[in-house]
Amino acid sequence: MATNQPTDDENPQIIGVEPVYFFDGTAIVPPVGTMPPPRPAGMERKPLPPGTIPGWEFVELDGAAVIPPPGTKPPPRPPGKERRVSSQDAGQVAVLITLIESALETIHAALAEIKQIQSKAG
Amino acid sequence: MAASNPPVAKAIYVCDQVVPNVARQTIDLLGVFNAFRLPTGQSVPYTLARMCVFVQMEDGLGDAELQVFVVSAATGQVIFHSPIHRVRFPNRLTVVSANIRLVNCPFPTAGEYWVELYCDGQIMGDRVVHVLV
Repeated sequence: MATNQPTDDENPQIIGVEPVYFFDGTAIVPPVGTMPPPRPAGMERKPLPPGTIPGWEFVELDGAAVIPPPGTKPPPRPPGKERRVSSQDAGQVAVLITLIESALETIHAALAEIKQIQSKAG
Repeated sequence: MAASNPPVAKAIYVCDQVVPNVARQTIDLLGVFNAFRLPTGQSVPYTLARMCVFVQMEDGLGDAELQVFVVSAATGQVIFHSPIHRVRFPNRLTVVSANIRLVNCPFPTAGEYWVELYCDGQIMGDRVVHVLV
């Protein structure tokens, strides 16, 4: 029976339905001296100082989910890191936009009618 | 043909194996590493039998070409690379995962290597792998 509580070794609610590609290939050795494509600014790499031991840490973080007060917002995202609404939300937004556009058309029509009446009365 | 919108790599991992779990519809990454030590009695140059580069991407649109370059940090030169692989992004919200598995990966010396992932010729991100003796 599926519940909202994950078991020790699996979460029965997980689904991964997005496309996944599996590619197999043999490593291709290019001619000696081949350089990779140039990296854009900000993506440069420099070798670590000689003798540096690569770091490897694995931290398991366990804890109960904390429910914040209603209306709690996450920290603001910096420019370029914004998230758009998901496709489902986008659908709901599209419906609301249609409703607003329809209401605006009604308002514009009513305004035109009012102006017509005013001009006749004037 | 390049993607009409370039995708963004949200996660890149170098690991031993990537196993699709069909029953649970998940992907299991096994043996994620950032360094490996040569087996006892072995020396450089050393050929790693298998290496997987797993990436999750989004924000792309259309067809895109993926390629992995393994670069020596000491020389900046490409040591080996993968064939070019094509993936398709049906829309910008779809998360596309790819596992690029390479066999017979030659590492000429001990030291630092950059496993670089390119999409349509532009670098998406990289991981550092150290070969230890």
